[in-house]
Amino acid sequence: MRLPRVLQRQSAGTRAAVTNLEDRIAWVDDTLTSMRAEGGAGARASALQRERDRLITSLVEVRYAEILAASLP
Amino acid sequence: MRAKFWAAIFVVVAFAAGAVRSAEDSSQEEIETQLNAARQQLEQAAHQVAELSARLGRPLVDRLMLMGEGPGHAVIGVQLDEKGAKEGAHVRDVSPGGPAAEAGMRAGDLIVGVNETDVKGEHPAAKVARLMRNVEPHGKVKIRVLREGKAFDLELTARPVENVWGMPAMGTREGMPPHGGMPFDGFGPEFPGGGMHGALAGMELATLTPQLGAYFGTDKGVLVLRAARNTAFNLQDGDVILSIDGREPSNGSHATRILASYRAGEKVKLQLMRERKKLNIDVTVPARHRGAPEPMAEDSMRTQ
Repeated sequence: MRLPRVLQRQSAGTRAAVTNLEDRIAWVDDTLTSMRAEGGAGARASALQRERDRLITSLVEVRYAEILAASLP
Repeated sequence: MRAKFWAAIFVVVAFAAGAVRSAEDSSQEEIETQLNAARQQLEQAAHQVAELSARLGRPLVDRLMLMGEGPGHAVIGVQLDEKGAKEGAHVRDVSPGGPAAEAGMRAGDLIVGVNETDVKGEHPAAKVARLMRNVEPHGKVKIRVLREGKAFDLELTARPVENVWGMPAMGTREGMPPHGGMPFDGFGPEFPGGGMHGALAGMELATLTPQLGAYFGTDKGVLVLRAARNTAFNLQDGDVILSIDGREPSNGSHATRILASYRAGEKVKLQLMRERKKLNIDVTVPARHRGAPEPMAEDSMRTQ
């Protein structure tokens, strides 16, 4: 029996880094929702929003590494 | 004389061709070695970006948690505000790769109900936040969404908060302070997935297609294309991961997320398909610090 062609492969190590960042961004987003809901949308919320922006940048970098690794032969 | 000349030429050409082939072979091997090293460096760099990024954000998260900020036990990955007024909770942003994003939620949507409870009226975002505090990790959440005047339902699976920042969620572990009092050195096994990363390094996974499933004798699971460099899970190339502690991974990303949620020392039960036979493996997640060797902690294996 011939092995069918594999369409998509993922490096588990790099994926773990991606999921880790995604989980943190989700935590930040839900926390921002809670903070705004409780009227705490002041300096702390702004700082957390900046933290989110930084995490997104890191996520983009890690995703780039992941895509690059997947394109290697 | 002429025959001797051509014979000599033949010998020289044959020798040269052999030498070139040999040089090409060794050159190919060298390139392959370099490629593998580059692949490892990419993986390591990605992990370092994630870890250093967490270290940078940790003081702020520490302060917020001390003040009692943070979601409940589970998150869905949406940022809401009151822009939707009384119509519903306005989705300001959706976390990439989060439960809401995976279910199809988009920025600009209005959440009008959570688990059959209407959230329209005064402060809908606050109502959603309150309802979310009762959601358990891995719990199903049915969210009614209004988009461009049309209402529809999305079903999400909430993700646990525990370990996201290398600490337990607020009040999730009895007798522990909010932070769990845990040290944080970035690269240690106490980092989320920190110990696990060593165990996962080098492993490549693929989502099982129906054709691949037929080949491997199963219609579900995640295929191990390349086993990890260490032997933490005793996985082999060609294994299919059917379940991890009873949870069935839907794709490679899901399998990685489940595996990375374990801490060093925790026990994991893996059910595999190996050479078309079911196999159960009990393993202990290894402890691994930066620069330390990658240990193995397999406990037992049995076939079914």
